[in-house]
Amino acid sequence: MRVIAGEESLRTDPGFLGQVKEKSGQPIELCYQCQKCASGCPMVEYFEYTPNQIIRMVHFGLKDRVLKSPGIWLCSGCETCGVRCPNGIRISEVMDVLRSLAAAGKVAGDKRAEVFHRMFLDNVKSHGRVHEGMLMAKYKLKTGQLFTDLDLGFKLFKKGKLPLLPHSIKGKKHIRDIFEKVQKRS
Amino acid sequence: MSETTTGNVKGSVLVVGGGISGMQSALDLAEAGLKVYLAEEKTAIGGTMSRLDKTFPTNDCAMCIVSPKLVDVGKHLNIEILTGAKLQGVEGEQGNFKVKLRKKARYVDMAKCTGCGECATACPVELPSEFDGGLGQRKAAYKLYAQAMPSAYAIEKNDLPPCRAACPAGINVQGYVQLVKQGKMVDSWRIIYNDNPLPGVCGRVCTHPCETNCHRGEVDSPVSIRELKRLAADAAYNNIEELPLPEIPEPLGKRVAVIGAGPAGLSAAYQLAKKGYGVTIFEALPVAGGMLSVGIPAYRLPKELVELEIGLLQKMGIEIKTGARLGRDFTIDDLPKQGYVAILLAIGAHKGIFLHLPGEDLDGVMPGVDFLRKVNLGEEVKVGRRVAVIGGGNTAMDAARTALRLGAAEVTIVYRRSESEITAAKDEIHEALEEGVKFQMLTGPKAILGEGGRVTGLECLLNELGEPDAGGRRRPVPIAGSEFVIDVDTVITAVGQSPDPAGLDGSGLELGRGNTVKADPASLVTGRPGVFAAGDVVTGPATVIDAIGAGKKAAANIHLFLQGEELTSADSGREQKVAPFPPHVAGNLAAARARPVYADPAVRVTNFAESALGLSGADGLKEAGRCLNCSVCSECRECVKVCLPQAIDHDMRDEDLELEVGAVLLSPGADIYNPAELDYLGYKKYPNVVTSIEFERILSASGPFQGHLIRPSDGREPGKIAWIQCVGSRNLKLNHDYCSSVCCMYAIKEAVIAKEHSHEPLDTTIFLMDMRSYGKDFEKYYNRARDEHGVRFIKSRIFEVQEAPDQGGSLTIRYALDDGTICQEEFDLVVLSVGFKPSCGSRELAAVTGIELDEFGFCKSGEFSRGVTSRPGIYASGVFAAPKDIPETVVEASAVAGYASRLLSGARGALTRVKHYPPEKPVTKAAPRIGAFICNCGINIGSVIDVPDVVNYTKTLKNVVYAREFLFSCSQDSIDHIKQAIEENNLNRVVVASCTPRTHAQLFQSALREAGLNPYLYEHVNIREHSSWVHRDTPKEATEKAKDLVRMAVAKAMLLKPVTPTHTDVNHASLVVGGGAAGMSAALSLAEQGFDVYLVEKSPELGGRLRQIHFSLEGADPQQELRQLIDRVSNNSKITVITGAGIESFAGYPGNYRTKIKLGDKTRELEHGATILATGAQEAGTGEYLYGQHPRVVTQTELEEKLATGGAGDVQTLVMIQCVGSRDAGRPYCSRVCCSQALKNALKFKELNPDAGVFILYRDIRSYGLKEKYYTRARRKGIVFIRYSEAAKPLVTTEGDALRVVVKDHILGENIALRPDLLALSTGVVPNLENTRLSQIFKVPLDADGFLLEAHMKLRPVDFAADGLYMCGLAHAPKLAGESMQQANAAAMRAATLLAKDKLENVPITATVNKKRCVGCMLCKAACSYQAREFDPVSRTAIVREALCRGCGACVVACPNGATQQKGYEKSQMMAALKAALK
Repeated sequence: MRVIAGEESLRTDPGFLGQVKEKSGQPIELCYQCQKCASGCPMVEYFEYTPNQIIRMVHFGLKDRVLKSPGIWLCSGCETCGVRCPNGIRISEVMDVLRSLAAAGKVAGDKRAEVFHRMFLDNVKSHGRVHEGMLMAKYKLKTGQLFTDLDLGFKLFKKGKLPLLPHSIKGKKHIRDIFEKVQKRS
Repeated sequence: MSETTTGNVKGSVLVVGGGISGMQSALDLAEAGLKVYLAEEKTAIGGTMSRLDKTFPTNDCAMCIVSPKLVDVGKHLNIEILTGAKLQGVEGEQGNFKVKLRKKARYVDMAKCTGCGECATACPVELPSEFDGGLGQRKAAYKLYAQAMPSAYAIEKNDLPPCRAACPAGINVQGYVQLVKQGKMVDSWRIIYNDNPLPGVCGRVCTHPCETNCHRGEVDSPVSIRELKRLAADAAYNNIEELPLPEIPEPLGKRVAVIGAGPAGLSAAYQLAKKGYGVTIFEALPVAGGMLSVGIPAYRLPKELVELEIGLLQKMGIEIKTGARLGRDFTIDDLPKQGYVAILLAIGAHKGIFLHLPGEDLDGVMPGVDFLRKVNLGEEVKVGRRVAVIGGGNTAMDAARTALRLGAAEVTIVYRRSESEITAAKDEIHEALEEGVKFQMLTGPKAILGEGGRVTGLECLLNELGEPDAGGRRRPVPIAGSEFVIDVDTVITAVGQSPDPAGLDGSGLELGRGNTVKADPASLVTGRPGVFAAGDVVTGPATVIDAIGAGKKAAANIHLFLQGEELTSADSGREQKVAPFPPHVAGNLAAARARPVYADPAVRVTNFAESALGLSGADGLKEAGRCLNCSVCSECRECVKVCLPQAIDHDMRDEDLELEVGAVLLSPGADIYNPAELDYLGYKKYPNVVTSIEFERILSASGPFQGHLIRPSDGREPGKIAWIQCVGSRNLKLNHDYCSSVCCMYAIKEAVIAKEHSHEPLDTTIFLMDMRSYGKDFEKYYNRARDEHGVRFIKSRIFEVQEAPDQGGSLTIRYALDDGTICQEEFDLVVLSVGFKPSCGSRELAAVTGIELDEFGFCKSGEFSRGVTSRPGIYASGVFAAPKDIPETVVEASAVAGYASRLLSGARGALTRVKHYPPEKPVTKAAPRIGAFICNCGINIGSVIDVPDVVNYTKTLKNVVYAREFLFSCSQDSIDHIKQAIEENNLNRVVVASCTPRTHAQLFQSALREAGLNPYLYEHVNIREHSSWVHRDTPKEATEKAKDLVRMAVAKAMLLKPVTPTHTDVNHASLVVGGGAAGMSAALSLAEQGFDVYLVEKSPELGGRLRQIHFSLEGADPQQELRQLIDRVSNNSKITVITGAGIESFAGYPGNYRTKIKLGDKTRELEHGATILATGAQEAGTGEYLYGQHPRVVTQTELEEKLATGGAGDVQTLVMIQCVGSRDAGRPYCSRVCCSQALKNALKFKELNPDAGVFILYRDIRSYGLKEKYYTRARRKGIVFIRYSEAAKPLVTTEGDALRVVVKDHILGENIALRPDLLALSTGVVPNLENTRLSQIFKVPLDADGFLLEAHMKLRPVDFAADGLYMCGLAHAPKLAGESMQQANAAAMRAATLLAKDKLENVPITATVNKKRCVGCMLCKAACSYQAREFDPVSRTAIVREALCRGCGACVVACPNGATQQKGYEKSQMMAALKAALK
C-alpha cells in the first residue's frame, strides 16, 4: 500500500508497526480509531497530530513522518489517553518508543524538542530533579534562542520559581541507578 | 391435579423470566397444548420492555403493544405465573425434570387484592422506584407499574432494620419512626407500646442502642430515635382518656408474682397481663418504678411521667403492692402458697459499692445510689459547699447535678480514666458541663481526709493509661508521687452498685458474681423451676431498656412454662439477619440531625424541673424523615388498616415449590450496564447525566415526570441533548468485547421522540463509533432521523463528561473530529447509551441449572442451534443468550418454545385444562330481565360518584329487575354474587358499571357463561375512566354522567342477542414453501412436533443459499450442517419433499388451505392448515468497481467459493469493499450479513495466507452482538480497516492488468493507494425476484424493499397479519444462516399453536349480511383488509367468510344499504343507546 499526500507518495515502512508494537508491548493494531484519546489529551492543541493519528501513521508504516513529528516529544506521558483506551493501548508507552526510535535514528526534524528532552533528562540525572534555571539557560544556549521568553522568565524569577542554585534530592543515587538500568536495557 | 404423562414426558414447561421473551414462549407453549409455569423474580411480569417509552423502528408506544400480551399471559388458563420466584435447582433429565423454586413472600394475598392501591397510599415508606431508574419514588407497598400483571400489589421487606435488631426489647423502631413522620403520634406510640410499656420513660433516659446501630450514622449522624419516641409518647399522653390501650383477653385464671416494680418487673407484668395472666407486683420501696423512681433524678425523668405510665399498667389490671420487701414481709416460698403459679424475681441492683478507702466512714461520705434514692423519695439530704463525686457513669453525673441543685457551690467529678473511656451518656456529660460541674480526669482517690469525723478533703493520685483490660478499656495506672488534695466537705461514691441479696436467704437461688442471681441467659429461668429472674438482679447494673427487654423475655418464657412448653434455649432462637446499608439510598442526603431543646443551664440548675425539653413537633416530623428505611417495609401495619378486602398478611413466609416439568426455558434477561463504574462519564455525579433507560422513563407518560421532557437537576426543559454510545459495550478493558446490539437504534429513537416531546426546537447529538442500524428498516430510520429530523451524528468516542463551570447544571463534552479538530460543546442533558451486562443472576442460574456460559457470561449455544444450551431439555432465549433487540428476542422465544414443543409433543394436552360451561339458556323470546351491578372500585369510583344514588336510579329504569352496588365487582365474592343473582332473579341481560372493559369485561362475561347465559348478553359501562377519574372535581355532574352511561347501556342491553362463535376444523398438515436452510428447519421442527409437512422447493435440490456458504464466523461447518439437514428432512416420514415445483394458486382460510403446485406439466393440490413462506433471497449483483469487467473483482460469495476450493493461494493483497450497492439511494437498506461475511472471509483468508495484507474498506462495521469479538480478532490479525464515506467512495482502476484502489483514509485525510491481487465486493442481499408473484398468490404484503412484510415489526416478527401464514429466513429480511434457521423454528412454533388445535374458534363479533338488503355492490369487499368478503354468484349478494373476518367493522361503514351489520353492535342497538343518551 501507499499513502499519497497530495501529489506526493509517502514512503511506508512495512516493518514499522511490528517494531513499535514489539518495543512498546502495546496492541497497537487493535485501535479502531474511536478518537477517545484525542478528545481527552490535555496537550492535543499543541500537537500536529492527535494521538490516534500517530497510531494510525504507525499502523500505515509512515515512519519518517511519525518520528519527525514534534508531538511525540510534547507528549508528557500523563497516561490520560491510555487509562481510558477501550482497547487497552497505553499510548504513552508507544510515544516513549517513538521518542527513543527518533533519538536513535537521528531523524531530521525540528530538533528543539529532542534537545529539551535530553537536557531535561541530564538535569534530572545529575540533581535528582530539575533545576529550572539551568535547564532554561542550557536549552537557550543550545538552540540559540537566547532572547526569547525573557519577560516570562523574569516573572517566574520574581515569584521564586527559578532558584539560582540547584537543589539536590536525597535519593540522587537511586535516580542515577535508574538511568543506568534503563540505558543498559535499551 | 393428577400429573399424567404420555410418551413418558411431562406435558409442562418451566419458563424462567417474565420479560417479553418469557411471555412469548409461555403463550406459544400454552397455545400448543402444554402447561406453563412462568417464574418471574420481580412482583410482575413485563421485563424491560414495559419500562420503555416507544419502540423502534415503528415508534409504537411500548406499553400499548406489550400490555395486550401481559393480559393474554395473565388470563391464560394454562399459564401459571409465579412471581417472586427464583429457580433453585433442576434435577432429572429432558422430558422429566424436577425443578425447585423459592417463592418470596408477597405479603399480599393475590386472590383477594383488587389492586385498588389504598395500601400504597397509606404506606409511609418511600424509596426510589427501580422501575423509574430512581427518578421517581414508590412505596414499600407497591405495584411495579400501573399496568403490571398480576395487578396485585406487593410489599417489599428486607431483613431486620439495625435499630430494631439492636433494641433489647425488639421494638419496631422503623415502624414507629415512619408513623411519627406522618404525624400519626398515637399510632406510633402503639407500636412502641407493643414491646415496651414505658415509652415516655425510654423517650428520655434510654441509652438508645438503636441510634448507635442506625445506618444513617454511616451517612452523617444517626436518626434521633429516642427523641422521636418521646415525641410520640408525649403526644399520645395528651389525651390519656382516649389512649387505645392493648386489649386484655379473658383472664386465664393463673396468677404470676413479680418481685420488684422496676422496669424489668413492669415489662414482664405488662406482657403477662396482655396474655391474660393475673399479675401482682411486690415492691419493697414505698413507690413503684424502681430506679426510674428512686435512681434517676426528676430533672431527667419527671416523676409524674413514671407514675402515669405505671398507672396505665394498673389500669390494665396489674396489681402493685408497695412496701412489701422480700425477706422481710414475705419469702419466695410464701408465694406458691398464695396461689402464684410462677414467680419473677426482678429486684434490681440498688446497693452501692464501697471503695474501701480510708475515711469512707466519715460523715459527709455517701454512696451515690443512696444519695439519689433519698433525694428522690423527698428525704432531707444535706450536701456541703464543695462536693466530690467519684465515678464516671450516669449515676455519678446524676449525683453531681443533683448536688448542684441541692445548693452545692462546687461539684467535681473525679474519674480515674480519660474522656474516651467515660461511660456516662454524652448528653449527660454535656449537660453537666453546661451546669458547671468540674471534671477531674485521670485521677483516682487515695483517701478521704477528715477532721472531727467530718470530711475535709479528698486525697487523689494522677493516673496514666496502661494496657486495655478485659473490657477493652485502657487500665488506669497511678503515677507515683502525684498525690494532691481536693478540698471538699462532701464525697459521693458512684463506682457501681449490686443487687441486695438480703431477701434471698433460704430461697435456694444460686448467686453469681457481684451478688447477682444465676439464671439461664436464654430463658431466664433460675435453678428453681417456676422461678425466673430478670433485669439488673441477673446482669448487674444495666440500662432501662435492657431491663425492659429482659422482662419481656422472662414473660415469654413464663408463658411457655405455664403452657407446659419447652423454654427458649440458646439455639432455639434463630438469629434474624440484620439488613445491610440500604442499596436504595441515593447520594446527596442533606439533612442534619435535629437537636432537642434544653432549659437554660443557669435556671435549670436551681430546680428539679425537666432540663431536656425534646424536639418540637415540626422538627420531629423532619427528623423522622431522615430514616433510611433499611428494611423497606416498616411493618407499621397502616396498610392492614386500610385494606378493605383484607388482602394483606404480614406473616406470610417464603415458600419452596417443587414442580415436575418436561423442559426448562431460561429467559431471565441481563442487567443494564451501570455506568457509575465509569466515573469519568459523570453518572451519579452530575444530576443531568442519565442513562438511556432513565431517559425512557423521562419520556414515558407513566414515568416520573408524566412524560414531560425535563432534566432532573432543575426541572427545566433541555434545549440540547447529547447521547454517548457504547457505554459499557465494545470495551476490551471491561472484558465487554461485544456490542449491545440495541443502543444505536434506541438512541436514534430517543433523539427523534425527544424532539417530538420538546416545545422548543431541540438540538440532539449522538456521539458514536459505528452506526449499527443492521435490522429490518433500521437504516431508513437512521436516514430519516438525520435528514428529516435533524439529529446530528458525530463519530467520536467521548473521553469524559464534565459539569460546565457556570453551575447551571449543563455539561461539557470535548470531542475530536475525524481530521483531528478538537471541539468543545455544552449540553443541557447527557444520555448514556448503556448496554447489557450478564447479571450475577445469570451465573447463579447457570450454576443451578448446570448450563455453560460464554466468556462474558452470556448463555452458550450453537451457531446453527441458537437457544439450545449445553444441557438437553434446557433452552435459553433473549438477552440472557446474547445482546439482541425485541424482534429477535421474540423470534428466539418462539424458536426455543419450538424446541420444547418438539421434545414434549407426545404429552401435548396431557396437563392442560379446558374450561367447561353449562348449556346456555334460550333467551331470545323472553322479555328482557336486566341485572345491573354498580362498582365502587374501593374509592376509585365511590369517592366521586354517589354510587347508591346511581343504583337507586338504575332500579327505576325499564326492564331492570335487579340492581346493587359492589365495593369491588371484580372480587371473587362479587362474581359469585352476580352468578347467584342471575339464577335467583332469572336475569337474561347483565350490565356492569365499573372500570375499563379492556381488563374486566371478559371476567364478567365468563360469570354469565358460568350461570348459563350467553356471554354477549352483557353490556359494560366504564364509569371510572369515563366519569370518576376525569370529573374528579365535579362529583355531582360525574354522578349524573354515570347515570346517563348506565341508562344507555340498559337501553342497548334490552336489544342484545346471543352471539355464538363458529368453529372450523383444523387440517394438521402444513405447507412450507422453500427448501433452503429456513424451509428445511421449519419443516423439521413441525414434523418433530408431530405434524405432517409438505416441503415444496422450486429448484431440483434442497439447500438454497446454504449451498454457497462454506465457513461461518464462529467456526461451525455450514456444509456439514446442510448435509445433516437434508438427511433429517429426507428421512422424516412426516415430511413430503417436493422439489422442482412451483406454486400455482392458494385458497382457503386458517386451518384449511388448498395450494396447487405445478410439477413439470402436472399440477397437484395440497391441503394443509398452516403455511410457512421461506422463499429466500439472493446475493446482489453489481456493475460497480469493475465487477464483471476485471477477473480479479469478485463478490464475497465468489471469494468464499475460492477460499473453499483453494483458489486464492496466490493473493498477496486482498481488498474488500463494503456496502456495494447497499445503503444508498438505490437500495436504502443494510444487508446485515456483509460485515460478518467480510470478517469471516478475511479471517479465513488470513488463516490460509498469514503474510498477505487484507484491507477492508467500510462505512460502518456492523459486528453486532457477540460478533464484535471477531472484529477485534480481525484487527488483532493485522487486517486493516479503512472507513470511507458515501460521498467519497473508493476509486477502482486498472494499471495494465493490475487493479488499483484508492481510498481516502478518514483519519489522516490522505489517499491510500492499494494494489490488490483480489478485490472482493460485499454486494449485499436482494429479495427474491419471485416475491411479487408469491405475494399475489398468497395475498401477503411486501415491504418497500420487496421482502415479506410481517404483521408487526416488533412483536409479531414471523406472523403475517392474516392468521395461518408465517414467514422465515431471507424472504423476510437479510440475515445469517443461523438466524434464518432460528426464525424458521419460530415460524414452525407459531404454526404449531394453530395446528395443535382440533378446532379453531372464529372471532365471535363478525359482520353479517342481510341478503334482502344486499345488492351485491361489493363495496364491502374493497373495505375488507382480511379477504373475508366474497361475492356469492348464486344469491348475487356479498357473503362473510367468518373464519377470516376480524370484526373490525370497516365493511359495516362501507355498506350503503345497511345490509351489513356487526354482531353486538347492530344499528338498532346503537340507536337505542343513543336515544337513551338524549333522554
